[in-house]
Amino acid sequence: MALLPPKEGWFYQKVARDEKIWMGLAFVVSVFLFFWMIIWHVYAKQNPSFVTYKTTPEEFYQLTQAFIEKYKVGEENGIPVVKPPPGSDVFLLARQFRWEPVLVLKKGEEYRFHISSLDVLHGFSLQPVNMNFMVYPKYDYVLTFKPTSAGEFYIVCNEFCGIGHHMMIGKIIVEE
Amino acid sequence: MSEEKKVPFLQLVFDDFILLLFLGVAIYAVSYLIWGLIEIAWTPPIPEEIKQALLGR
Repeated sequence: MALLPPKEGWFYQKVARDEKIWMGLAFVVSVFLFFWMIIWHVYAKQNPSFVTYKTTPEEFYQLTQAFIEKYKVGEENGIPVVKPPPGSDVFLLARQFRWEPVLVLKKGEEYRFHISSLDVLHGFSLQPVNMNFMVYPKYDYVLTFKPTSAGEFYIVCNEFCGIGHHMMIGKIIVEE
Repeated sequence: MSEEKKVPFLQLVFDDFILLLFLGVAIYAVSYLIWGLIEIAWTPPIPEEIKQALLGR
């Protein structure tokens, strides 16, 4: 019994055949799961791109402002509304306690999202599709997005970031 | 009494369940920490072409 200390001299005993078979089976299963993990990552299309760049809050703020200036089409509750061309790099800035800008995207087109924080750790949670990613300051997290349905989607912050955390709601509008 | 046999090192390790518990936590803690530090060290800056496209420099 495994709960009791083994008999003296166990270290020199030969491993029994059935035990070897069990060890072999466990090894085969672990090797299979290891390769399945890689196959799933490549073919399942359920994982983020894992592209991350180093940045600074100042640099990312500057890039977001330049992005807003370049593609701005309006304003909503004091937050700029931006309509970037399909296939372009999209900058989304998280800060206490807002997401900016509001993005207008085209259905079926691919965009490269760059997401970073200006101050503390935030959480990017796209609703109602429920996609969740962490947003760190000093790191630009790159995600490739292809909106598959039109409508208005909301981004809520899902990492407690301070007193106004619950008011931190952004918006993505997907047009046909 | 029989003369004392030298206990093999691996047997000492396998017989000490507290040591096994410690190793089971410590080995992963250290490996993940090192992995994280390597990831941080190898993270590249934002490519210049992306910056130039927006800032026009």
